[in-house]
Amino acid sequence: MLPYRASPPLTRGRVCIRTGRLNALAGCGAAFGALMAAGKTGFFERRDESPVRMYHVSKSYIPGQRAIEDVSLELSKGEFVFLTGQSGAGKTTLLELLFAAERPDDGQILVLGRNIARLRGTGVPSLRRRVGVVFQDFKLLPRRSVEDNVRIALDVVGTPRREARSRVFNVLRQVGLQHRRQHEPVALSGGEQQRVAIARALVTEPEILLADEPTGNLDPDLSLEIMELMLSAATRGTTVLVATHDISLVERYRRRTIRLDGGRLVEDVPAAGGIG
Amino acid sequence: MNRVVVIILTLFRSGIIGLRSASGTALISAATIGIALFLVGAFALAIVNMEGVQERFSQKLSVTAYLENDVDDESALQIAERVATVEGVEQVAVVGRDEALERFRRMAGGASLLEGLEENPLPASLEITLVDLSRTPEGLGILAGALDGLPGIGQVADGREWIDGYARVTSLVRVSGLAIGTILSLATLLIVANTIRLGIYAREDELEILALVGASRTFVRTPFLIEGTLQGILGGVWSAVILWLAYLLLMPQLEYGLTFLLGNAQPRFFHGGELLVLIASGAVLGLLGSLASLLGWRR
Repeated sequence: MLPYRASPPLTRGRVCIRTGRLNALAGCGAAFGALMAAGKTGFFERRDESPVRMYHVSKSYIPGQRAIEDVSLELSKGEFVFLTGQSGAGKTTLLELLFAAERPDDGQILVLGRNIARLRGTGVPSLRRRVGVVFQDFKLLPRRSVEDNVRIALDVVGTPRREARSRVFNVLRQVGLQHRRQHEPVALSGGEQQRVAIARALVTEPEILLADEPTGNLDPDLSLEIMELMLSAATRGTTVLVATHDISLVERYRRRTIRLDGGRLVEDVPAAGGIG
Repeated sequence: MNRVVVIILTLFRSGIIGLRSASGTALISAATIGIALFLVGAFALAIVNMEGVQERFSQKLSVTAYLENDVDDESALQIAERVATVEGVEQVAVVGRDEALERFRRMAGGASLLEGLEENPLPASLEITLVDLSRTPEGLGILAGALDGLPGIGQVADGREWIDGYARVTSLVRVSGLAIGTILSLATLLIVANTIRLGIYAREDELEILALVGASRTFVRTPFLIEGTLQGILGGVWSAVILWLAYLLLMPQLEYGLTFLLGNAQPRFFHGGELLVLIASGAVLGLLGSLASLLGWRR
């Protein structure tokens, strides 16, 4: 039922990490040395590695009350995955762990070869440049043009102006908004605003796209538009994880679906082939 | 274009956008810096002028030692030779009684005051010039000590008391200026910090989005430092302009009082370098204020 592979020595791995790198290399086996090094420097990162791996991850905000409990999972490159569950099941927390907005209390998370629990200093920004995130409430700047809103993701890495302009134009064309690039978000419909947010997430060509209830505020027709955009990102090689409680979407697309309940992973249904 | 250059330009643009979007509070903050610097600048202007007078006075400084009435011309020459050997003395000139009378007559404009005199009442004197390094209160002290023991020398007029007094007034002005400047600068820092903090709150959504798309800490914070520094520069320029206007408008009215403080010296305004220091002080105030604001801010 569960296709992930939880590696047994991981609980020992934490002890190794605490006792230092030398011990890890000498005593805990080459695999763990490589894992640590990957978490620390990304030096041993291999291309065929899964972009997202979670091993026995737990997280609580209030002592004794776990938002995420002992979750292990792996996502492959270019995979499109739904994350479902009722409100409060832990979907948002799981996404936040993946873009390092939160840190796990227990377990290991490797995102693009980086160990989330050990990210320091510039580690978080440099990870986020490779992970696009989309929210239910869009998070757009109301007083800036659509173009500016998308370009902000390129500004932070100092993309030259001309290059930035053409990339923004291309991604806006992908989401069908190139003609509205000078408008402010308030002049756009909800669906259009979400397309701007997706354009902002995709303009850096991220390896992972995380979406938290991206269609939560949208009509069913618009929801399908948004889903199609994210599916096409997956076909271009981006790993896409979409948290939603909209069962109709899940049933329509029949992609791999992970279900959380009370912070635990209770179901992991592989893709069955369907629309898209 | 190099990515670093692009980032720096982006940060500057972002700082200027921040300044414009908070123009009301930013202008008040800049005006506060301007007022603080205006007061500090006014004190500094008084001090540079007074120091100028002191320096000019010391340059011209000479000591007059009056000789007693029974000293004849020959003895006067001998005393002059001995005085010339004192440490720090450059030159000694003997002014005979007749010459003294002649000088007095010229100074008084040939006044009838002297007409009734049967006898020259003026004593002969030695005019002693000191070398540059000894034109200080200490140098004058050494000379006074040496003259004290010499026979035939009466009263010594060395202007030391006047210089001492003037130096004391200058240092009082300087200390008051420093105290007022420090207090005002601290108050200004708080106002700038508060303004920047308001700007941070106003742009919290933008900062959250920046963090989400992978902006570094420096990228998020630098625009606020630029904003604070620009406010400071603006305040500095305003203070310089207002000082200059005040100087032009008030100088004619103050001339009488200034003659007392400055003697015959012509008052002067700051020169270019000093104005730059004033404006740079504004920039530093703005930068420190925004730094203070960021230090207390946890994203």
